[in-house]
Amino acid sequence: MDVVVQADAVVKRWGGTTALAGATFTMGRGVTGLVGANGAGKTTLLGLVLGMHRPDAGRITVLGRDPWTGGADLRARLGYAPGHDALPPDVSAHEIVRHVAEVHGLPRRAATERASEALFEVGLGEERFRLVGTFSTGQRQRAKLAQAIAHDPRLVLLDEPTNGLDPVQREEMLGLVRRVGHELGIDVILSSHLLEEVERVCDAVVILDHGTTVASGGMASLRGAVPELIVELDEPPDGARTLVDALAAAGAASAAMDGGSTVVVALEGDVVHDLVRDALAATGLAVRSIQRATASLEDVYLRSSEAAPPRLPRP
Amino acid sequence: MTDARIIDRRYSHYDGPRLGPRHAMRSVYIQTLRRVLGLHRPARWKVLPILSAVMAYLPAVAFIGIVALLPRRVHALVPRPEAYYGFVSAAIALFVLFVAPEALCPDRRSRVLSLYLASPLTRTTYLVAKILAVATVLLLVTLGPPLLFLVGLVLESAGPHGVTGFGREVWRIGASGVVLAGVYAAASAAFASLTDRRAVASGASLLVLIGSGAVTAILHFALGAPEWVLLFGFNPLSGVSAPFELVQRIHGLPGFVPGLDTAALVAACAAATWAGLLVCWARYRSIQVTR
Amino acid sequence: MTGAVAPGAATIELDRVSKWFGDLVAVSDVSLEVGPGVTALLGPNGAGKSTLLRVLCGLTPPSSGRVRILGRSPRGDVSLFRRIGLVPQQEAVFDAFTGLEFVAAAARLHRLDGWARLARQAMELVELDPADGRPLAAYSKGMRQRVKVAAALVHQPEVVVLDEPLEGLDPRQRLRMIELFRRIGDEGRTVLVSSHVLDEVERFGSRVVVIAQGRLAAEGDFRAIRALMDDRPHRLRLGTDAPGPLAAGLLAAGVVQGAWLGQDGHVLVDTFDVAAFRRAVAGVASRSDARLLEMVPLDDDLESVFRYLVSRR
Repeated sequence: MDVVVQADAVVKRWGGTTALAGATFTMGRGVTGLVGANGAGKTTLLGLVLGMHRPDAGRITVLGRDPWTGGADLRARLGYAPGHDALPPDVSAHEIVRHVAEVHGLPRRAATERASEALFEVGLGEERFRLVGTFSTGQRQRAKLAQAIAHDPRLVLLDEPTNGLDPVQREEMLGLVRRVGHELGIDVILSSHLLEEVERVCDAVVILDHGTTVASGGMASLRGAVPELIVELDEPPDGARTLVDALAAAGAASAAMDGGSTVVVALEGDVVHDLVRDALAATGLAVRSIQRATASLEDVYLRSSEAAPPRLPRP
Repeated sequence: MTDARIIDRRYSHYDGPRLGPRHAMRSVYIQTLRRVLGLHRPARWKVLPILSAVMAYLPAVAFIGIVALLPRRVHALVPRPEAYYGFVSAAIALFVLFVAPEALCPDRRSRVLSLYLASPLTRTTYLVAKILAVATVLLLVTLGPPLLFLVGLVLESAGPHGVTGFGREVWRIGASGVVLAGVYAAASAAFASLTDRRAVASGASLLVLIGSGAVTAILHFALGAPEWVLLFGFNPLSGVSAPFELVQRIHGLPGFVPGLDTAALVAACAAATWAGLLVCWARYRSIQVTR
Repeated sequence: MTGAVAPGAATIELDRVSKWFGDLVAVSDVSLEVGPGVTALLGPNGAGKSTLLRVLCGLTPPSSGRVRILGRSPRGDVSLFRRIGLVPQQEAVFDAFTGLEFVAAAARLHRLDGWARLARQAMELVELDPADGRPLAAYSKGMRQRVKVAAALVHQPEVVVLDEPLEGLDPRQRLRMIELFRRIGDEGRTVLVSSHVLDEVERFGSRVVVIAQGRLAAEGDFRAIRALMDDRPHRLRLGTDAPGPLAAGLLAAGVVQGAWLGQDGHVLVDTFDVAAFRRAVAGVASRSDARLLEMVPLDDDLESVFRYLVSRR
């Protein structure tokens, strides 16, 4: 099936606080990002998907089923890597991954084998019999991912999996997440505060603000393709003006900006690419980069979350 | 040239059987037993279980030895099975203080509980598996040693007469073992549910359980309070506590406080067990892992 | 430009600083200067960043070498602490206090006049409500982070050192915090921020200090660092409708040393002379009749610089 999570006007309150105030969205296959301010309802939503609590109003279905009533069965096919440390320090990585896989329904032998496979997959093969307490932050994050995928779930929920990782480790973890979502065929919901990594890894995103969905959809369509070409030059400021003039002479509208070494060209048709190329060749200007303008996910996020007026106190 | 293969031994999809929540409970149960008994763990975690087992089983072995090896005159020294519980009370107390905290507290402290709840288990099934594990460990010292003792006596022809006699003893020992294990499993689990720190849980159960025995004993024996206050005593170390009194009654004996109604004892033990389980259930219900 | 250090204007000076714990060398022979503006401290986990920050602030003495802040040693110079603000990484808040009480306590510790007013101002600076009567235990992680920053800024220090201050903050809070750092950096304070999120570090400003395996790996404007890494080729991705001819043309022109034809019409090129490449690529494309849809440098960003610096060792 193509719809992994479907939410319709989901409401969830915790005592006096409303965590979700009518969120509606659809999550499909692949890697979906879940983004929002602290207190926007992300963690609560993950809990609803896991069937740990039920909505006060509205409906949520996961893999076609109601997670609250279909809890045990559904959770057998779900994997979860919480945002906080969640592994016992006095147990080996293999042991805890095996145990979690077993608890998700795998017979003992299969759980043992798959625990090793999962740990190798995340790069902890050599360390799998070491105690988790001796692991570094990076290794612990990987071990968390391993326990989430060992039982071959249909859907995996990852809450801030790159938390505490340095840049190189972060890139490796994102690579793992991509691999899980695209090559291993396990759908992923990635909850994160870092919009750049959501941009890099996710196929689609759901943006929550104050408990409602303020934007959702495929990454490409959300970011939109602005019909502009951004040309960055490796020249002093007057270089940009030179290019603008050359383009104007060829009939292409453009403007210099950003301190004078970037030119934005209106992309009225594909031929503009050739006009830019020829203008650069003719003027002999050194070009650093040529890229199609897109709204960054951050722009989308700021725009959409600004629109919703703060009705509720920020936590 | 077609007889070569590359086998991809990486992550693959799983098409095998997927077992249900009962299997999950069994896994938690066994995992807890292993953890608490120190199996597959460094030596220091085995010290307490071994010590307790020795304290519990050694008297039985010693008494059987006396019966087997020494002349008949000395046999009077050997107690009857129902008096055996006094000897294992130290072992029971040790387990009561340390098993439930070890079974329940670390999962919350390290926050592994969130992983359990994101599985086919629910709070209830998780707790059932855990408390059954605690009770099983307690049974090792409440049931095992008296049974061993009984069997030893029988083998030395010093036991109860006939099959009926033997059967009755077995049933009495069984019932006693279950009562003790059940009451103390529930009580110690309740303490372990209320705090994340094992030491605090142990300390609290020590204070409350032994304290209850001391307080009720003083009230009744020293201050002359009516007998029913002893229903609130649950000291695992002394004979004058509700569960141990009940054990005496099961064996057909008057016990230390004959005036106390047997039915009242049953009610007190049942109430304590239910109260303990209720505390666990309520406490775990209030833990939110994805708020 | 943020972070340009004029001679004599360095507020933080480390001279051959080393720190070891028994046999473990956490920081080894680090010499650097940090001046006003925002400087980012980068390094892999376990590289010694936190230790370096602690030594720098005087929380622990260096095993060898010298540390000078504002010209004085931070060890045992109590008056210097008034001019330094530190936001450590660990949770270091008193759960029973309210936010305002915590920040006010910090102000009073520094014996400031008008501490109540300053505490309120500091909280407003990080966009927390001074009138919030809840204890810190009830705060979310992001709010606790902001309270720590407020407490470190309440005495308006000249030097501010922050260890992963954005952890737990959501996207909007992160942006606001970065804005705050830039603002106080522009005011002339020296702000040293350690962070793992390189996309954001690029927003602090361009001055970075990179630590790897306890040693200083690089410092300065990261683009300038990139330019210095000329023993490594630059890699770019070119999007075109004629990959073969474009690749062939570039190779023939001698401006690339390697070209790789990708599956979906793109060409990956490696060049040792990126300046020559930049001038020549448009002409080559024109002559090869290849449309240039895009041209993306793949290792010009801070992340590639970082990776190169830490993996070389």
